[in-house]
Amino acid sequence: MIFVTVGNQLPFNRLIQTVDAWAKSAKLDVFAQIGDSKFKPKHIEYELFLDSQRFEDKLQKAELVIAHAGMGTIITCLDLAKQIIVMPRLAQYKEHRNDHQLATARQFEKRGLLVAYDDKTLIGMLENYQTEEWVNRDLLKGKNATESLIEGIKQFITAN
Amino acid sequence: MENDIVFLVSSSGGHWVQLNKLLPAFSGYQCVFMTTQKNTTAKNGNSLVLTVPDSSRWTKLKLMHTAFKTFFYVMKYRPKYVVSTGAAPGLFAIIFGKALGAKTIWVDSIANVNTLSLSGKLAGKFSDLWLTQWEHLAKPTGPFYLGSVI
Repeated sequence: MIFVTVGNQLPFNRLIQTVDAWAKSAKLDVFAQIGDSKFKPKHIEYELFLDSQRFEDKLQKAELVIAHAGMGTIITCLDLAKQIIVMPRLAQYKEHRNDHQLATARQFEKRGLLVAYDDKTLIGMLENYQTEEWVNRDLLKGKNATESLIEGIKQFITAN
Repeated sequence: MENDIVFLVSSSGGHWVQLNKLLPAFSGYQCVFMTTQKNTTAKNGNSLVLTVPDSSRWTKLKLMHTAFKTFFYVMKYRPKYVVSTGAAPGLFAIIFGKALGAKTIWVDSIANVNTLSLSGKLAGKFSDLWLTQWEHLAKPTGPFYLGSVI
């Protein structure tokens, strides 16, 4: 199952429309969380919102996640070792207040995250996702960075 | 030690996921969470999760509501430590926590790669430990870089 999610705050029609159009010919099992969107997909199963339990269920069952470039989703997918492709929301299309998702995506792309900035690139990735190079989990995971943050906070607590 | 309360505060979504990644730093302490989405469960499964209204600089009236409720909870639980990954509700908890004698920790969201968030910048004045998750954003006088959640 391919799971598509746009998060709980704003709709993201550009992403949903692209996946919907691709799904028409792809004939794969796709489920989308589309948010408060006026656009309703025709070729994929969808719901507007999922509570955290159902969201986790869908993530667990997914072999590929397509998402907006929200840090919550990215981190959760990494923790569950899920293949993820992100499309950053753009302020110019009023998909977000600013372009911080673009900045986030660019930064993590350097570490191996798969990013599709436009619909053509996303379709290209989707056509190849089963052969696409797996995101290098070690590159993206930055284990030492996590350990040093936790350790640093622990030391502060001990001293205070 | 065991009865000392750590107040963990954040908005829902990415802030919340990052907040829960910090849990290993507080093992042995009683953790009380506060966030903006109802019926949320913390990663450790059994901690209390309080809810306050979501708000930002664009919803000034709601901001007051969030502030009042946050103040009420900080007064009620008297945490020894207040930790936040942002945004506005976290800032309020840090400010009130500091005023009531808590040690405060701000960890700016990893999503802020080019600059600190507004609440992150303001938190500097009220945080005993003021952190960014990007090395290139760290400054000699803070925020500091110790690592990141991923």
